[in-house]
Amino acid sequence: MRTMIELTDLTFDYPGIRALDAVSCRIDAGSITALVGPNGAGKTTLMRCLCGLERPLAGRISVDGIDVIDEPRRSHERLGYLSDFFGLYEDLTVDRCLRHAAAAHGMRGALDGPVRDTATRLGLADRLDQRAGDLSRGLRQRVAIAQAMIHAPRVLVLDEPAAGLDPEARHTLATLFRALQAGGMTLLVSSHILSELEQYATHMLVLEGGRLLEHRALAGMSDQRRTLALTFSGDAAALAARLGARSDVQGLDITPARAVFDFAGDERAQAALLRDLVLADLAILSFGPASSDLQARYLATVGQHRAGA
Amino acid sequence: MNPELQRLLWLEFTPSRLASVLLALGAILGLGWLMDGQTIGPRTASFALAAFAIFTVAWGANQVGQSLLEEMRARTWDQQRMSALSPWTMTWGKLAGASALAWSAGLIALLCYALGHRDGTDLRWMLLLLIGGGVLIQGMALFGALLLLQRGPAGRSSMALRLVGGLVVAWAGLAFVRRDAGLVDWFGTPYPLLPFAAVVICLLAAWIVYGSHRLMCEELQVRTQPFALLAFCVFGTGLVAGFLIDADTAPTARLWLVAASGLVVALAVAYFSAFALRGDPLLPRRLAFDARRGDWTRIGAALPLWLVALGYAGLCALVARVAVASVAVPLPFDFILRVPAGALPVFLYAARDMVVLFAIGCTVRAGRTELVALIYLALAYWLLPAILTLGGAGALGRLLAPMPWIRPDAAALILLGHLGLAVAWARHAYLQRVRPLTAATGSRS
Repeated sequence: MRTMIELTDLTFDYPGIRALDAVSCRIDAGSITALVGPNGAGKTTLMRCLCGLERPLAGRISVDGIDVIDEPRRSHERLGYLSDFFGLYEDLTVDRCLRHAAAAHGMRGALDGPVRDTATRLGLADRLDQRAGDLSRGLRQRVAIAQAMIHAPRVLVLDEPAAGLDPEARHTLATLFRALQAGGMTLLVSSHILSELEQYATHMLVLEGGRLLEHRALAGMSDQRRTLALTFSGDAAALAARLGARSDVQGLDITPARAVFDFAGDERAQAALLRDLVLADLAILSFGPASSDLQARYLATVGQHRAGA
Repeated sequence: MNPELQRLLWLEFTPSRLASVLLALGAILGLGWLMDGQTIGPRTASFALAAFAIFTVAWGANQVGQSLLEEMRARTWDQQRMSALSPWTMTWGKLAGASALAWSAGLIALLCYALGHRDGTDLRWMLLLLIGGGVLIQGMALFGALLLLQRGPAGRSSMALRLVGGLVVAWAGLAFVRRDAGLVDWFGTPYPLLPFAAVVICLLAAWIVYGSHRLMCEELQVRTQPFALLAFCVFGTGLVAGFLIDADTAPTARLWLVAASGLVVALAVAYFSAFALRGDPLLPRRLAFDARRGDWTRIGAALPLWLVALGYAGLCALVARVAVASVAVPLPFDFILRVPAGALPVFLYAARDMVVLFAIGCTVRAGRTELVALIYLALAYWLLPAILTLGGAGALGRLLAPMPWIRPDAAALILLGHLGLAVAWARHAYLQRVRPLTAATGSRS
């Protein structure tokens, strides 16, 4: 898969604090990467550096082959960004807000089509003549997202995009992100609500203390790695031994009634594993994907890191 | 159309604003017309000038500054920084868009002034002066707003001050130019005041707009090299030296005066840059990192402007120091005679102050550095020497603040000692500031 974003030894210092410490990773085109980590992990700094809003001490950032540090303005034609604390031009109508955003991102010619299409995707078609300052919090959030994506950027970077949205709007947003991904767009989304990210994220990038702890595909992605959970009423030691002997099982976390582990295999291999466990008479009660793959992986990664430290 | 210009035109030309401006302008011009006996005469011209100063200079400058500061208050500036607009497009878009309504009113006022003017001044030069002055004040507002943007949230009070300042400068300039129709002696050549002032004002307006563009480049993360600052120092040197040199000045004395002018201009620029521009306590770290990689483009772009201006000042001080030894002719002013003799100590004073300001930037929380720096300057130049002198320790006072023009070489030696101490303090303050980083990352830092 083609690399859309490449970070190489990205280092960013605030006076007395290292916000990013030699972060390197490659993000595939067409993926939705959940950027997660505790407060102060460096998520917003990473996003702002990626968008050319902050200049790092060292390292390189490439977006769609463009060096963001050397050519920030050119890279902005390929980038869309929604800040955590965004603002709108309150005195302009939604229509004019979107027209300005499109023109400012280098779109030329008739803007009626892009404005109408973007407004429709965000459920703003009937609000185009309304002043941005008169909109509710949720609608303002949608206008801000529309401004960030009206120029059809290759990469969309969103910092807490669902903050302040009601459940229905969040669901709409998740559907929109999946549609953008299906259209080939690459998304990097930061949020503390992991269950929400799980609805659309294909990859997870974990930061803590400015360091990259993990960058991996989530369930259903190309490497077929997924987190599975099973409940049982039999012998935990026998189950642990059985699973531990398999090369396609890793990260086993077992309690007297439940086991969670990473499984590297397709659906047929998953069915074969279940058959194997049932035939071994291990009293399996339930078997399937862990209810919250992202949350489980995040907690496991951060836990391992802190234990190591 | 420039998207930023378009956005600001949407905001400026609303029916209610247009009606208010036309009403107010009509009232001012109508009053003059009535006082002239219902004809366009000298009083109408005076009222038109007042209208121009109110609408274009004061209100226009306020609109230009606010157009930028409002972006920060409304948190839309990141969106603008994420746009694909070039720094120049953004600069002229803001300048022209935010002042479009003010200029519309101002041009109507200038038309009335042109029709009614009877004061004997050359109308073409007067119009050039007024338009150049309007651009200069508005450019200053944009420049000031960009400086405030670097420093975080800014209140309206600063804009109000700028507005009042703009009015005062505009009125003072107009009164001076209209009252005195004499000549200006520049490099020994007499020039009529009005054309000379008009050209200088237009050149300064061009410089302030270009300076705004350079600050905009910094805001938009576009790297620039410090050549523009050096060019401005050369321009300032020439402008100031022209007033000091006359037809009778000997060639060596001319060199002396040019160097002294350069020193004064460069030091003004250096102090302004050190106080007004955003400081970076991590600067040595960035420079060292880029130097290790041999990335001279980045080093040039990262150099603080006060350092560049200080370099220019150092060059001028050296030239003045060399020239002073060979000059044997009297100079026009006694004060000017003394300054070149003390050029090197004056430069060393500034170098010491710049290093101390950097150390303060490393030590003091952002936002308080200016206040602490001002206290330092007051202590170093005035309070401590005065206390020591009054307390009978005059020798110690002279060690703290040696006079550059009394035994300049001794003063230079003492100030070299000051500079050494300042560098040691700055190094210590810097290491304290970055210690958490070096502790966390070891040799990689």
